[in-house]
Amino acid sequence: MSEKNTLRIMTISLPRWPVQRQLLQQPGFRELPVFVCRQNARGVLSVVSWAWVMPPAKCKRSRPVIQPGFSLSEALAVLASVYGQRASRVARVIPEDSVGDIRVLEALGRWCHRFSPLVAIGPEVIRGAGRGKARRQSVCSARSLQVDISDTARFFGGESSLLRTVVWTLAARGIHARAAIADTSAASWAAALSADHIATKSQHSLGELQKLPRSHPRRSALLENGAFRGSHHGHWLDRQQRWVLVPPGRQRQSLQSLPLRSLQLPVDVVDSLAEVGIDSIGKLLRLPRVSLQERFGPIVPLQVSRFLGDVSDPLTPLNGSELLAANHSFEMPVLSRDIDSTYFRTLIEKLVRQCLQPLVKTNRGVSSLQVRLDANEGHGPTVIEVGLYKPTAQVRHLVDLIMLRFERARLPREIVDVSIEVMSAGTLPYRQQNLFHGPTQSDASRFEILLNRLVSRLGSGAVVEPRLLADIQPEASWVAAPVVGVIGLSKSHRSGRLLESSRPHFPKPVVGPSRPTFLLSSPRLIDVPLLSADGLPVRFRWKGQFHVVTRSRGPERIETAWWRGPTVRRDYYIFETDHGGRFWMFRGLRKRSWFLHGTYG
Amino acid sequence: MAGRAQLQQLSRMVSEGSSLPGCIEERAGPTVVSSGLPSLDRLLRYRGVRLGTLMEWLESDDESVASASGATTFALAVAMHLQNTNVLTGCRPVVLVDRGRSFYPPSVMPWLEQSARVTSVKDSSPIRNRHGRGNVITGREEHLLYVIYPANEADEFWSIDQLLRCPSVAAVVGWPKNVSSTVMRRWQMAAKSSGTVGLLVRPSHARREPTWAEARIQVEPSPALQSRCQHAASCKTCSPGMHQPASGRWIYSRAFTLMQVGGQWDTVTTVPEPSVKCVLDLARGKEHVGFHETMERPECQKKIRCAS
Repeated sequence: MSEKNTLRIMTISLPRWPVQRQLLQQPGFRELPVFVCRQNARGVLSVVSWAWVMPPAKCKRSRPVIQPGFSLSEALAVLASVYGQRASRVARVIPEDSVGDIRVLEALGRWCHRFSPLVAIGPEVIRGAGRGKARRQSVCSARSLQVDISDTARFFGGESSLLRTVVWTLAARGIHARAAIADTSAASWAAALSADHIATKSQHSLGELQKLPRSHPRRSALLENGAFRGSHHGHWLDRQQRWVLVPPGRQRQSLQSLPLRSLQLPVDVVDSLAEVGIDSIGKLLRLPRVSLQERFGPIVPLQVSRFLGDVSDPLTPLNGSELLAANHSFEMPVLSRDIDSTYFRTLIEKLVRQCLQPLVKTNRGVSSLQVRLDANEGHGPTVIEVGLYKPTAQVRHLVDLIMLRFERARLPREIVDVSIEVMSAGTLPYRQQNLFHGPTQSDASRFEILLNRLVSRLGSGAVVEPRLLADIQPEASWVAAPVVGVIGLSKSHRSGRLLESSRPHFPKPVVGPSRPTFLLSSPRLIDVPLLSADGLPVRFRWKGQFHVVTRSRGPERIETAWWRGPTVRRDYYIFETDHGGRFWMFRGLRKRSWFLHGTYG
Repeated sequence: MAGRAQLQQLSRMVSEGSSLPGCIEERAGPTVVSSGLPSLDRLLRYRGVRLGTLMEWLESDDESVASASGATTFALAVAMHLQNTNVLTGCRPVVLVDRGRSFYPPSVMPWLEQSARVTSVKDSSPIRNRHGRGNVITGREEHLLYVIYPANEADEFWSIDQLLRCPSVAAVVGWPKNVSSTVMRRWQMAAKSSGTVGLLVRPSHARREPTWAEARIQVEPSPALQSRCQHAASCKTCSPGMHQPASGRWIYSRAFTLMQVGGQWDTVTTVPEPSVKCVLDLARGKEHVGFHETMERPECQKKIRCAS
């Protein structure tokens, strides 16, 4: 789509970044309202960002309006008015950590090097907070990354495909993002920030377009609007649209309806312009720049010029973002079946060593890396990601893990290029060395190596550590937390989901002998031909065999709360049969049927 | 370089003098340890679990009974006890290879807490990790229980093999179905090289197959044994949590008959198979010691008569 020598900038907007970052590091908080707050000089906590990813099902339609800059008490009152008092009691309040936010954003920026070598941190989204004099305060509620994709989009199947890839890849990693591509960094930033706004406008315009007769002049005017480009694909006009593609040279037409805050203007200037009725970019662009400068200073015409591309606005690359990558290109395509495994291992070892050299100097190691085998044009590359339990700088260990993955990967028929890219790095753990026994591995490091090997072959989801959750429903009372998790977040940052101790307001999960050793993936309906006088099974049939109940213990009533979604109401019993087997069964309180849920194996 | 050479020379000298504490291997320690269940220890050939070996736990062939028979509970109880067998390495994790994805960890969480407490007592260092459990000696902050979910049989066998080769793992618990003697031999060699114990829960028909396991224990629940103590809470000699059907406390214990059914390459045996009875305290993962003695005491019998 882009022509050669045309600057194209992609902006990835990360709304509510402070709270998103917290949720990434503590996934258990997704079940609770989370407020990231800043304390002002008077000691009052004001909300920087907030989110409740999994709110009660019954209240999903009415979302509370809590703007950045609200005082915490005000925000909790609004929350309670929508979700009830309990919601405000269980809310998590986390102090703002702007340094940590930037650090994780930089890690994400380095991850974005896969799309282009030039990645920069975009301008902050500054919002006015409070009212009157207090409005002069400003909070940064979102962050963004900007990527120069002038000549790289075609490697990803075009700009539209690239946008989709970026948004959905980040979504798969638990990061909520909006993305936009335009000619200038200011325009793409504005479009990414207002992606929802554009989608809503497009939806309205489409409705209007469908009502107009074909010959109506308004129809042709709407079709002229660049925002409709690609509308035949449907996804452009979706209200859930997460990306915007501004065609080359059409940012003025496409983005004229955006609010003025999308133009990176100071809050007071936006307020002053709003007072005279200028509330959108289109209205501002119609005014002469000279008069704007006289009235509002040089900032307004400068931003307008940046938006339209009249002045140069280069991106500032990430600090210290030297590409921790190494690659080897073959002189001519090599058939993968002809590659000697020893040679291939040596090649991988050489590339890994190249990647590790700058890291080792700063006492850092690799947490995750990506190996890419590029094939001829027309064939997709083979990409292998290797995640580690803890950062390591051992070349041999890394090569072993990579080779382990290649054993099960489907290689391209011909390989043109082999590249290795470090996706995240971390500080190496300190280990005391033995004086005499040389480089013997400690107990901990041996276990880490084992976990890394298991993860490499079986996948990160297959090697887990069980963690208890504060949930009374048996299926939801624990979670299998992968030992190797989100890229860019070290082990110490991943506290998994909530342990029971961190949720004092919720009942602790029941553990111990009253719980079965094996739990069925879903409760199975049991045939109970004979019930006793008190309604308990005398006999039941399971896997074709009848079992005679000799004794029982129960009921243990499990009833979930209304805010968790569909209510679960069960009376659990432990039954011992004549053969000595123990079964965990429940009677549904609605249909009164008997279900087997677990066994004491 | 000269310093390095001197160090190497010193190292050699120290190595020759084997009485010095620097020569203590990490894995130095007893090769036979208690299983934590005295009745089981009596049944085993070496009066305990020999480190670096495999043990098979046989459960019923009947699928509808097998998963509720208690063999897994026994294997887990032994595995949790093995976590603390080596004072030098501290508490090591137990890893479960659960291809069926049906294991429910909350059932054994109290046992893990107990293992962590034992480690804390052993350790004199004030350093504690975040969760108050884990290996305080090596400074690890990991959990004591890991679960592996292999997708197929090949991955399952490979995982067990890899885990058995790692000395940092206390025990591996698995539910492999069809294991050839070659695979079993490989596992046995792996366990031997590391000192890790493999606890394999298998169907009873595996009894007919040759094995490289050190011991094969048939586990059968004994409801009759547990029902013998039918008296109520007035019996002071029994421990408070035992066998009171009226209050439903019986769920905290479970009686089993353990039977040794042949060992290594010992499928055709003429020796009568020894067996023991054992009552497991499910709250602690330990055996109710003295249960049988308690049942035989005259005052207890008297109370039974009174109650009846």
